[in-house]
Amino acid sequence: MVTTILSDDVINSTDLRDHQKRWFDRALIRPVSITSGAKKLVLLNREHAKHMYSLSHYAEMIIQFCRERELVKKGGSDVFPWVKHLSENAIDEFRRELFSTFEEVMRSRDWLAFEEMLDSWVATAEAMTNPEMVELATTDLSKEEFTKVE
Amino acid sequence: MSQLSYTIKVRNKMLERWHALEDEYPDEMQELKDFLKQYPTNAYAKKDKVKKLRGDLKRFYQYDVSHKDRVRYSVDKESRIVEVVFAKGHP
Repeated sequence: MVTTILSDDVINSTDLRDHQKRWFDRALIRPVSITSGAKKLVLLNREHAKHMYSLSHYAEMIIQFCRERELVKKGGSDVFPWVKHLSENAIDEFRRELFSTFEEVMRSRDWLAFEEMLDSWVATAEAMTNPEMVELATTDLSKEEFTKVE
Repeated sequence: MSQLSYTIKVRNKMLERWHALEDEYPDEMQELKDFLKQYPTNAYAKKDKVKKLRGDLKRFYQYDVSHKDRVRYSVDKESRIVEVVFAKGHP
């Protein structure tokens, strides 16, 4: 007896062979499980598969990051090694944005937005390795002189 | 030039580096200047080059001129001024 998951249709390899177009069209909308003896496969829309993989991948990273709380306090992380260059406040801000963006992406499926958020934080951490940028973070630029360029 | 375009100002401490970048990457720097004058806060217009920084540097944007050279700037939308605060080049 095959248990259905994800509201999938369960067919055998003969069904697939005899009605390919029908099952391919169905698989674009929801998974189609194919059984052939002891073998069990799933035909799945690639975009849906990409979303599921990304969810699993990033959820694992976030859970690991949560477990690293004590390690992060000491300035380290195995999941996001670059956080060591961020201030404590910035790490808290990153954690909040990580959770809120992940929550949003679960609904929107806009993984590009999630990856861009991570890229921005990586760029920030890279910038903070430069003493000039660290100084800039607390500099009152209104006292600096600027020159107009064309 | 459009009345809505931005003025670019470079921090004096960074002027030499800015000009060095212009010498080394004339096309890339022209692309940067065109971008800064038109829509300096629109990271989506240059997804692979522009990032909005976070945390202690949230005032700034970063534009990647090359794989190793960066320009960082702040934007005053009211006065329509872009202030380049950091440029990494070889003076």
